[in-house]
Amino acid sequence: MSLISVQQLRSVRALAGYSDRDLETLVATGKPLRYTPQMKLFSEGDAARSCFLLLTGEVDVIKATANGPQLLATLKAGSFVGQIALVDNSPRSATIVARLETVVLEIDRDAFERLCATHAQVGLRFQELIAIAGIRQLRATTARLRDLLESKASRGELLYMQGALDEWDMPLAGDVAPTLELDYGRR
Amino acid sequence: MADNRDIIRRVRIFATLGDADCDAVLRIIKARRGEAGTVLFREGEPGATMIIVAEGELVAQVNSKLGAVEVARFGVGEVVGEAAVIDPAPRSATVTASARSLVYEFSRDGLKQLEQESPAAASALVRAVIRDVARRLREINQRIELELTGQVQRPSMSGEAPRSRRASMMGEPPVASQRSTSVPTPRPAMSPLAQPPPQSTKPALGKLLDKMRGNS
Repeated sequence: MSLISVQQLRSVRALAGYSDRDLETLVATGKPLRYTPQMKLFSEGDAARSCFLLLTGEVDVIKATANGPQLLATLKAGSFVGQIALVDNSPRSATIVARLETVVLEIDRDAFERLCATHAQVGLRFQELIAIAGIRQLRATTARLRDLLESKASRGELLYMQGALDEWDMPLAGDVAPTLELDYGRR
Repeated sequence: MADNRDIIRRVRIFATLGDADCDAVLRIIKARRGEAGTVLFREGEPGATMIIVAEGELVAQVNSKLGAVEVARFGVGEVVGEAAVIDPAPRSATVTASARSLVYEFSRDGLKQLEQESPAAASALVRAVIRDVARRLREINQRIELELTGQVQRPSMSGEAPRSRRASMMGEPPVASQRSTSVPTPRPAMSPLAQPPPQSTKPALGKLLDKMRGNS
């Protein structure tokens, strides 16, 4: 018996436009996994080969910084984690730790490529979901950098805002839209 | 058609497309021509189209507390606003032709059509957007961390002209002046004297980290 039913995927808002058949295809593409609290889904710096769709539970997004590990966000059921890995070869950018008992659907890159080859439209729409999540995350992150730089500017510390806006405000970023539960700590 | 295909292939994200896929792209794009000063879209307006520069140059400006800031220039083969065809959102900048320009524009509906006629081209576009977003996210997160920890690499400003390709501060908000309510004078000092003292990021750091943890 699978840990995951089509009905559970139905509860994921981002997949609202998918037919039952599309969802069955996704379930068949992925691997259901259960994590107990404190278990890591993956660690920052790991090679990235798969993405995770959170079906129940919550996970923490933790990033190493010069000031020690920082909690960036807590993601709830319905979120995607690590989805960039399906398209991009970069290592994991953060560590993901289960906060509660968490059930995920893991989709790895090979399975995803097979999905794209056999169900081009389902694959394409899934890629669009990944893109949308990334774009919204980028908008929120850009807004955070802008806030940070503007608060420095208002204290007379402005100097390199120009450089920051230069690289980041165009063309993908700027306004904070509601995110696919991928809110990077901006509330 | 061959020349037009080459224009499509000159766009980085379409560089590897075959002829049939280029043709599918060509079917969904609309040519727009404008003189210097023509506004293609304005910051804050709803956006659902992307633009490929075929001739000329575009300049993007955003309103900030400092007035209008030029954030980017786009030359031939470059793409502006590609995120909007995937995730419509208000424009994050005002984009104006800085010289007589020809651009190709396509919409979200165009992307839908492309998905049907050329999944390869649609996939190339979407994957390119994802990679681009991933790269920018990595870089911006790095920048935030450097800002928070005070270890940001400061560029040398000694007698150095601002980079001409991208970004220079504008004393006046040229495009958005009717919409802007704040007066952006004086021009911010671009001098090493504006370096913050070493500990000055500490209170902001604590507050920001609290915000990040959701404790605010």
